[in-house]
Amino acid sequence: MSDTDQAESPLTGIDWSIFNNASGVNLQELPFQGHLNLRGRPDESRFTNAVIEVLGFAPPLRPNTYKVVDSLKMYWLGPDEWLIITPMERQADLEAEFDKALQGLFSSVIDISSGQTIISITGPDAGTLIQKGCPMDLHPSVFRPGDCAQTLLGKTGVLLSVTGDPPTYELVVRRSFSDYLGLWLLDAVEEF
Amino acid sequence: MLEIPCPWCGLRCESEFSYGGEAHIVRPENPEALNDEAWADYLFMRKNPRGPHLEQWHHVYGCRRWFNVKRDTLSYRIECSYRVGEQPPEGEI
Repeated sequence: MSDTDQAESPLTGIDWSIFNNASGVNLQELPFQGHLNLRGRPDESRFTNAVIEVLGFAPPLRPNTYKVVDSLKMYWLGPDEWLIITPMERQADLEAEFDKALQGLFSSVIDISSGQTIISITGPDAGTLIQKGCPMDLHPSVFRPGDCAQTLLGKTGVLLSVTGDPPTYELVVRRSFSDYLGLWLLDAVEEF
Repeated sequence: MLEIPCPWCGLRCESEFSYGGEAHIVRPENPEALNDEAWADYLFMRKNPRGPHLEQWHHVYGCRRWFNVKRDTLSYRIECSYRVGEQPPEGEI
């Protein structure tokens, strides 16, 4: 296979290692995941049953929370909208199963895997770094593990989520903004 | 900077939102039956009050829902927010 046939992640041009070795923040891209956007009406039991049938669990209904079950992560994006992150090898199967289970329902499932990417930010200064460009209060007493939020980081919209203690963060960002955000992060992380 | 209460996401910073003008403007059912004056009234004429104002906001960088806000145009104080399709708390439009 020639080089041109290989998949290239959106952030392939960003060299995170410049700061990762010594600093209190560790940045990493989690490329090549399956991203499925799911829309439907949670007040219709046929819809929630279809989701349970395909994924094995119910969609998170509390605003700005996410669920992780095995290798799947499901974010609340809106009262009728969710994002499912899956390993790439399961993505096509899941999409097909959804297509079948949701037939006849007012709903949609769309593969947006190539449209966005994920950046993971860990380390003691991770929160401080994000707070430099994010208008939301990210204090661990307010933004707790299990919480997610669509908000701004720098000048781009991101889907932010937090796990664990000490908090580690994941950012879902659109591909076309990822280069900007990667460079913004490299600049912002310099002080740590 | 305003802090705007999104009915879904709670208090968020103004930079996450975009403004959508006066709320509760209903499109006439038979636009073709209107004269120019009534149509222009629907399209262009707004209350522009000095004081409490019912207006639309879009949580464009958040949950991407439209909702309504009651804001005082003089003090910028936001009294409440409510979902599209709901009436303002005192039932007045």
